[in-house]
Amino acid sequence: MEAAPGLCALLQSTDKTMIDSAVSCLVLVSYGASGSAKHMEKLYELNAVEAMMRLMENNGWKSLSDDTLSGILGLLKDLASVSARVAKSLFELNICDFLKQMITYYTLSHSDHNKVQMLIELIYYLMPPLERCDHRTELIIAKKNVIIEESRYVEQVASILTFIIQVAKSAALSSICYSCVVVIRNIVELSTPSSLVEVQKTVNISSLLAVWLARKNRHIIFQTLNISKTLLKKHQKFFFETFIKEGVKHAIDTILAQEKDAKSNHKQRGKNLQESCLCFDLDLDTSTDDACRIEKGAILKLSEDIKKNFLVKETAKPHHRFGCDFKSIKELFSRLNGHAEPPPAKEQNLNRSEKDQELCKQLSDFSRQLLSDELPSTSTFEFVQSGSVKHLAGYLSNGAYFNSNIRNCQDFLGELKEVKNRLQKFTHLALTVRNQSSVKPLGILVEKLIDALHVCYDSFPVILADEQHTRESTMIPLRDSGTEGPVDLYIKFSRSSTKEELDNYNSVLPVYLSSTPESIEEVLWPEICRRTGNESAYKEATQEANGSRTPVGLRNGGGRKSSRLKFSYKGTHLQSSTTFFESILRSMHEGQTDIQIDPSFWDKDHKIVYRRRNKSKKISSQSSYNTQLSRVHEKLGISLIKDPFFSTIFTGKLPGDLDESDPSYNFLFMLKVLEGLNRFSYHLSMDERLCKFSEGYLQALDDLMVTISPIPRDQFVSSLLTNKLEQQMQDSLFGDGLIPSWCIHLVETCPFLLSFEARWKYFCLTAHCSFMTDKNGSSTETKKYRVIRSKILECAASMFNKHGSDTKFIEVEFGGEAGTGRGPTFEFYTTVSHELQKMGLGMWRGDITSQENKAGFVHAPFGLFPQPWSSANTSSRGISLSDVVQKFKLLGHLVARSVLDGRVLDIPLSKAFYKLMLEHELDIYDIPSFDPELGKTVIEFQALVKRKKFLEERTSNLAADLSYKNVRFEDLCLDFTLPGNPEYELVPGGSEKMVTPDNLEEYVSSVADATLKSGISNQIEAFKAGINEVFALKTLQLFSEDEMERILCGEQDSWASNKLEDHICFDHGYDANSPPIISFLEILREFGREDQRAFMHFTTGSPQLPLGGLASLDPKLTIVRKQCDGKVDDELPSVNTCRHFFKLPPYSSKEIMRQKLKYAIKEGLGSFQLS
Amino acid sequence: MSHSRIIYRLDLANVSVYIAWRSSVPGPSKQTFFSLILRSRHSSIPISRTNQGKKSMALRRIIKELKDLQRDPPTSCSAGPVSDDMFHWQATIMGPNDSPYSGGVFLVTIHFPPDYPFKPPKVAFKTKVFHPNINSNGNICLDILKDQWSPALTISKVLLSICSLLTDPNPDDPLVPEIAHMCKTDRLRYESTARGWTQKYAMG
Repeated sequence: MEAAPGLCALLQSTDKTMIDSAVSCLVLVSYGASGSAKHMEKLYELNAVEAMMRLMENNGWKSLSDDTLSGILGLLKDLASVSARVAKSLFELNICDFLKQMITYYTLSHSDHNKVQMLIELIYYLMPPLERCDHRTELIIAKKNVIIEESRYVEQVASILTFIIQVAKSAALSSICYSCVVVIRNIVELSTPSSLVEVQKTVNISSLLAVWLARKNRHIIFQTLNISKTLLKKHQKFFFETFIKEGVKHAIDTILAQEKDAKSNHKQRGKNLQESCLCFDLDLDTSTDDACRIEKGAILKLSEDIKKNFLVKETAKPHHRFGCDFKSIKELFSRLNGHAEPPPAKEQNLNRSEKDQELCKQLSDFSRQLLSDELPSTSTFEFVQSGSVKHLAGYLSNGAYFNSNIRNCQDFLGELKEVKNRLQKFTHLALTVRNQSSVKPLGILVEKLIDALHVCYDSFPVILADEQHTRESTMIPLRDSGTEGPVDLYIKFSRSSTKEELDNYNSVLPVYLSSTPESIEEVLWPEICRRTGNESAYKEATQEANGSRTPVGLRNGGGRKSSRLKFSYKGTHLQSSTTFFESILRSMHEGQTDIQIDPSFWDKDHKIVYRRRNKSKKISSQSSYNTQLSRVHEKLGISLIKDPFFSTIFTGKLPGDLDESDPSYNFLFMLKVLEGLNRFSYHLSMDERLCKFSEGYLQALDDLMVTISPIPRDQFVSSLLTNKLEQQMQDSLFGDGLIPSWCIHLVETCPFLLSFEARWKYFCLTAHCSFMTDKNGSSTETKKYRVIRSKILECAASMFNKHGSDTKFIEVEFGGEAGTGRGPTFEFYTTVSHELQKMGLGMWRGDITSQENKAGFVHAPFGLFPQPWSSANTSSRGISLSDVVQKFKLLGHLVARSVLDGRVLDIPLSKAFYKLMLEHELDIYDIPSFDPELGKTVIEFQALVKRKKFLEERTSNLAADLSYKNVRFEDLCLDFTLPGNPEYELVPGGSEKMVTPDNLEEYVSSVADATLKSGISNQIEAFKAGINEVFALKTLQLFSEDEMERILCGEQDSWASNKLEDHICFDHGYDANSPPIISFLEILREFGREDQRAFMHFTTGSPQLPLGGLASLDPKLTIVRKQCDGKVDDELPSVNTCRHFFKLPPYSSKEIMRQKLKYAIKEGLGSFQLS
Repeated sequence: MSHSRIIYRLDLANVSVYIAWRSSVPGPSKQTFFSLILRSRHSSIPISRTNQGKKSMALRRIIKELKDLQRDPPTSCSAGPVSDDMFHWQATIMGPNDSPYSGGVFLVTIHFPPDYPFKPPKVAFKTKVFHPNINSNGNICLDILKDQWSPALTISKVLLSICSLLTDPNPDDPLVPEIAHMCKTDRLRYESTARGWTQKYAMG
C-alpha cells in the first residue's frame, strides 16, 4: 500500500513500459487490498482515477497494451464497486463516452468478448445494484444519490443504455447477455419515463425483451421479466401498447402457460436445474456455495404478477390496430396464394396480362403494408406471428414450399417460368425506392428476418470445451495439443439388445471428434459382419491400417454409401451427419444454450448402441431435381437456374439436412431466397425487361436499361450468429473437429449471414488449419527458392509445379540480388502477377492489338477476363493454346499460394472471373460486367430474338421484319466469327456465314457460349486445377466474388495515405484548402474498397484504375465546384467521365456530403452496367 | 476540276479509289468541295495485312461503310483510308454554315478497333478547334463515341454527329471548362475566338 503514491505518479509518465508496469503493480496492490473500502478510497485520493482516465483520453486506450487496458478497467471496476465517490468522479470525467467508444470498438470491429464483459462489469459497478439488498445498503443509497442528484449523470447513463442493448442483442453467450440484461435493468430503474420512451423509439427495447423472453435460459428470462415490470411501472400506457405490438405480452403469456404446466408436471423441472447459475457472474467475491437466487417458483410468480397488475387491466379495450393488421395480412396472403394453383395452360395465355397486373397490385399492397419504413410500421413480432414469411415463401415458390412432396414434374418448364416470373415481380418491387430518402423494401424485409432469426437464439448452441479458456483472451490449446495431437473421444459400441444377426462389437474405440455415424460405419461394418471374437487380433489389424494411435472416422471420409446402421445414444436416435461428439453433448445438456464441457467428459466411455437399418434410404428428391434443373439450364442458358438459391425456392427446401421443424428454418429459407434474389437482381430484372420488350410493352431497345441496384450484401449479416461463430471458433477444440453442426450448415447454406471476417477465420481454421500453424512461431517452416528475374514466369511455373502443394511457406529470392525474406517474396508475387498481364500472352480479353505496343500491359477497365480460344485453332499469332493453358495453371498456383501464405497479388481480375473461380455459372447477362459494349449489343440482339419468337408464335405468319435500331441486319455486316477475333469461327465456315434475322438466335447463343464457356473452358479448367493442387477449391465457396478479390489483392488502399491529394487536382472554385475539399478527401480516405471502386466507376466510367493507381490516371482526377441554383444540400454530385471531372457541390457539412456521395455512386452504378 | 489533287489512294479488290480535294473553288457551291473519283483497275493488291486472304468481320464492315460513303456521300464531310491500312482513316469535316466554324476544313483521324463494330472507332481532330467539347489534343467528348456506341451506328453517322456538335456545342458537359464558361457567359467572344481559330488553322 505504501507503494501506491509512487505508482500513481508513475501513471503520468510518458514511457509506455513504465505505465504498463505501474498499472500491473497497482492491480496487485488492489488485489492485496481487496474488499477493504478504506484502502481503495486511499487509492482514489491519490488521483489514481484521474490519472488512468487521462491515459485513455483521446483514443489513448487504443494505444495501450492489452494487459494494461484490462488492468485499468479492472482497477476502475474495483474502485467503483466500493466507493460512491469514485463513481461520482468517474461520471464527472465523462466515463460514459469512453465506455460507448470502447463498446462499439470491441463489439463491432474486434469482437473481443472478454473486453466487452469487463466493460459491462464496470458499468454494473457504476450503478447501484438492485439485486443485493444485504450488507452494503449504505453504499447503494450513496451511489443512487450520486446519479439522481445530477441530471447530467442520468442523461449519461441513459445514453449508454442504447449501447448496452446493442451488445445484448448480439451477445453470443448467455453469460454476457445476462450481464447486459442485469445492467439494463439497473439503468432502466434509474431512468426517467420520457427517456425510456426515447430508447424504445431508437432501439426498440420491447422487441428485444420479447426475444429474451423466448430464450431458454431462466436467468435471462427472470431478469427480463423484471425489466418489463419496471418499464410498465414507469410508463404504463406507452409500454402497454408497445408490449402488445412487439409481442412481449405474448411471450409472458407463453411463459406463464409453460410454468404452470411445469408446476403440475414436476418431472421436467429437474432438467432445468442443470443450467449453470449466472447469478454471481457480476459479483467480485465469487463464493460459489451460495444457492441460485432464482427460486423455483420465481418466474411463475413474477410473470403472474406482471400479468395481474399491468397487463390485464385494459383488456376491455380492443387492440384494434393490431387485430386489424393481422387480419388484413392474412387476407392478403390467402388472396396471393389463391394464385398459387397453376392455372390450366390455355387460360394462362389469355388473361396473362390481366393476372399479372392483379398480382403486381397485391404484391405492392403487401410491401406497402409490411415493409414501408413509414410509421406505423409492422413490428417483428407481428411480422412473424402473421405467418408472412411462410406465405411469402409459398407465393414465391409457387406453392412448392407448402408441399412436402415432389413437385409434379409434368409441366416442369411452365412451373419454372412461373417461379421465375414471381421472383422477377418481387425483385422489382423489393428494390424500388419510392422516394430518394426511403429505404428499399428488401432492406426492411431482410432486417426483419434477421431480427426474427435472433428469436431462434437457442437453435445455435455454442459448445465450449472449457470455461477457463474462453475467459482468457488468447487461444490456449487445451491439453497442450502441440505434442499430443488432437483429442479423441472414447466410444463403446455395442449391439442393441434385440435379436440381431450382427456381431456384438462391445469394445471401446477412440474416435476423432469429427467422426460421424456415417464415417464410423465404414470402419465398423466389416468388423461386425464377420468377427470371430478374436479382439486382440482385430486391434492389431486396425492399428496397422490406421497408423499409430487409432482414432477412426474422418468427416466425409470415403464415398457416400447408403447407411446400413442406425446408432442411438441413451435411447435417442442419432442423425447420421452429426458428429457423435455433438450428439452426445447435446443430449447430455438438453435444453441449454451454451454447453460447457465437463472435464470428466473426456475420460468417460460413451455407450452407443447400433442396430441394423431396416430399409435403404431412398434417393433424395432434391438431387433428381437438380439434374433436371441443370438440363433445363443447358436449354435456357440462364445462370440463375443453376444457383443453389433457385433450386431452394423451386423445390421449397433448403439444401443440406437442416431440421425443418426448427423455428429458424423458415427464416433461413427466406433469407437464402432473398439473398439470391438480391445477388441476381440485375439478371432477373434484365430478363424481365427482355420479356416485356418481346411482348411489345417496351418499344425501344434503349429502354432495356435496368435502373435498380441491389442492397449491400452486409445487410444480410446477422451480428448474433457472427458472434456465436466467433465465440465457437475461439474455443480451443474448434480446429480439432469441435464444429457444431449448425456452424457447418450455416457456412454451407447461408454464408451470407456471417461476416466476412468470421468466415475468413472459419476458412483458416477448417480448410487449411495445417498451414496456419500457431503464430508463436515454433514451426513455421519455409522453403526457399531462387528465381531469375529475366525468366520469372518460367521460374515461377517450375517452382509451383514442384513445391505448390508443400505445407511450408514459400520464400523467394532473386538470383544475383542480395535481399531475402519477406520483401523479395512479396515482390515476387507482385511481379509475377504483373507479368501475367502483359500483352502478347493471349490470356486476356483486350490482348488483340498486339502489333502496336507489345511491351505494354493489357488494360482491362472492367477487370481481366480470359480471352476465348477456339478449339479448332490451337495457335495464333505465334502463341499456342497450350502455352496459354500453362499460364492459367500458373495463375491458379499463384492465387492458391498467395491465399495460403497470405501474399498479395496485384492483378485486377474481373468479377465474372471470380465467379467462375467460385464455380458459379455465367450467362449472357454477365457479359456487360467485363465488356459493356459487347454485352449491351448481345443483350439487345437477344431481345430482338425474343421479340421475333413472340411475334411468330402469336401471328403464325413470318411478320417479323427484324431490324436493329432501324438498320437491316444485313447492313451490319456481321459474320459468324467471334467479335474481335476473326480467326475464331463460331460455326465451321463462319467467316462466310452472315448474320441475318433468321440465324440471329444461333449467333447470340454461340457468341455467349464462346465468350463464357467453350472458348475459355480449357483455360478455366487449368486455372482450377492449379488451385486444386494446392488446396480444395471448393473450400473457397463460402466467399463471394468481391470477398475473393479482397483476399487476393488485399486492402492495399493507397487512398488512406496522404498521397491522395498529390494525384488529384482541384479547380474552378476549389483548392486543396477549401473546406469542402478537406471533408471530401477525408471521406475518400474512409471509403472501403467497394466504395472506392464505385467512386472510380462513377467518375471515370471504369471501376478499375490502371496499373499504378490514381497516379497514372490520365487525365488526372479533378474536383471542381458545382454551381448550384437551388439549395446546395439538395444537389447531387455529377461527373464528366471524359475529363475525369468530379463536380462537387459545396455542401454545408461533411455528413451531408458523405450521404450524397454514397447515394450518387451507389445508385448511379446500376445504370452504368449498360449505358 | 483543273486543280484537283489526289490526296488519298487506296486499292480495293479491283477498284481503286481516289479521293480528291479540289482546292480553292470559289463561288457559292462550297458544299461540293470533295469528290470521290472511282476508277477501275486491273491489277489488284492485297487489301489488308491483318489477315491472310480472308476478310475479317471488321474489315468487311469497314469496306461496306466506305462503299456506302462513296455511293451516298454526305454533304459536309468525306472520309477514307489513309494508306492501305483499312483500319486507319482520315476524314474531313466542313465547318457548318451557321456556326463560327463556317468556311473551315477540319481534318479528323479515325482508328477502327479490331472488334469493330462492337467497339466504337477512335475519332480525333487533327486540326485545332476552339470548342467546349474538343480539347487541345483533338479529343472529342461525344456519347456515341463512348458508352452510347452501338453497332447500328456508322462512321458517316458519327461524322454527322460531330458536325452537329460544331453547330450546337454542349457547354453543360464540357471537356474544356474555360471555353464552356466563355460560351455560356460571353457568347460573342466565344464565337469570335472560334472564328479566329478557324481562319488561322482550318483555312490554310
